[in-house]
Amino acid sequence: MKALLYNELYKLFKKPRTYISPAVIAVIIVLINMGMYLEGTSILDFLLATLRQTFFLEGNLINGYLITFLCLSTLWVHIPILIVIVTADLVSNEFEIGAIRHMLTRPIKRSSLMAAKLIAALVYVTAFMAFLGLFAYVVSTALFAAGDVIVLYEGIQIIPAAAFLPRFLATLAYATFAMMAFAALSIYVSTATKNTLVAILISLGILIISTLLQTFSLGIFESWKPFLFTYHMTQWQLFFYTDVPWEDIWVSAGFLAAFTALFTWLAFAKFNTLNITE
Amino acid sequence: MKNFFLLLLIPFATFAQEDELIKQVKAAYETTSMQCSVQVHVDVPGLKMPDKKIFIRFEQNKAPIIKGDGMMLVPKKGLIGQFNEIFAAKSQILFLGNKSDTALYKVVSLDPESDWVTADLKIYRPDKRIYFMDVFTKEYGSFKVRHTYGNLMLPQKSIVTFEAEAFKLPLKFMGRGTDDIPTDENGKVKGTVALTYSEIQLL
Repeated sequence: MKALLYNELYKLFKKPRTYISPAVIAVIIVLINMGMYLEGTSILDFLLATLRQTFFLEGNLINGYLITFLCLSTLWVHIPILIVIVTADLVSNEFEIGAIRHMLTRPIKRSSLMAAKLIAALVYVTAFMAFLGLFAYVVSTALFAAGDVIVLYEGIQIIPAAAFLPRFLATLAYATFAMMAFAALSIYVSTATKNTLVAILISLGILIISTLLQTFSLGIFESWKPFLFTYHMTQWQLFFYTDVPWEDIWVSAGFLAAFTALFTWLAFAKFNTLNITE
Repeated sequence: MKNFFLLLLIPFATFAQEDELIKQVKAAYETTSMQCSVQVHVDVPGLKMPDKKIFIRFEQNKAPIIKGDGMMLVPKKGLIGQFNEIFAAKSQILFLGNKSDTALYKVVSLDPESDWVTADLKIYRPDKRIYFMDVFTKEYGSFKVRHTYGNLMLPQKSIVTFEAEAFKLPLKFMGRGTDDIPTDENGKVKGTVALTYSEIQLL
């Protein structure tokens, strides 16, 4: 098992595409910082216009913590896309290049090989999220000073600077768990289709449709929300409520755990019965 | 005949007394510059922020200078240094009557530059302090301010009540629902800010 895992990790980190996603997210973070540096004040003035009617609003409003927090909004669509580029390739690529036959002629269990691939995916997702968090935090706080964070959830919530870091780390941990759920889906699709491009497109199609349904605030779609995996993926936002609704977070974490378990099981079941002689 | 003339003179005598009271109140609150520390507690539907201790400096005809850690919010009207803003402006002061020991006045701004239109004042006669103000502004609506006092002529605590537009978020992905914020039929929310003053220094 150790050798299989080493082999999977070696292959994963040897591929150039593994490094495309962190490079893209680094560019996005730099662009967010540049945008906030150039236009941040006017954007914030626009968003806080109602508040300024009644209050004198003073302080370091555009700060490193606020921008680090804004970088987290990439968790909605950008990061799942960047992750699926790698995870949807883990199984199907072996079929495309014919390596799966060579591997399975060796005395290894199929389930062990699939487990190694899933652990490799987990390592990748964790490393990617750690890079996102570290890069966003370091760049934003290097360019801007620390400060209270204005969060536009259920109105306006102001998170004190001292409370930012624990909430940010909790968000990263939750988001890693959520991204692993999406990675499990993409690995199952990759196993089922045996084609990387098709697997990426199907996974992204599911993500986009689910996100669209989630953002429609129309009656019928509203009742669907609790059954959409993207709704639970975006529950990281709850860590930035003044009073964190832990119960809702545990419910969503439970949904994501069940979602991950279901697609992991499906991936194992499919891989164990796959015809590799085609 | 003599009694008839005396009866005619009574209202003029009362007005003279009221003029004297408002003059004394104006003189007492006439501070050109001051500074103080303020503990701010905000209670506005749709706005959650921790209590803050800030420093405010007031200078005549200038916006207050606010200093402190992080983000600071203070209401535009009802601050300790803003009595002067009402009394120093060109205005017409109307005596509305007495209610027990409290004299009621309406101050109407005659200055087209001032951002307030009228201010209703409740002055407690024995100590000549303003206990309640209702300042109606041109742009920001009405601010009702209830003051409580310690040993000084300036308030120790002020509770500012106002109506504000409910916060609406224009961008879906940057925000998260504002539908649960309770508003009145005009889409406004009623907010309260408690300001507790300390270290008051007249400059």
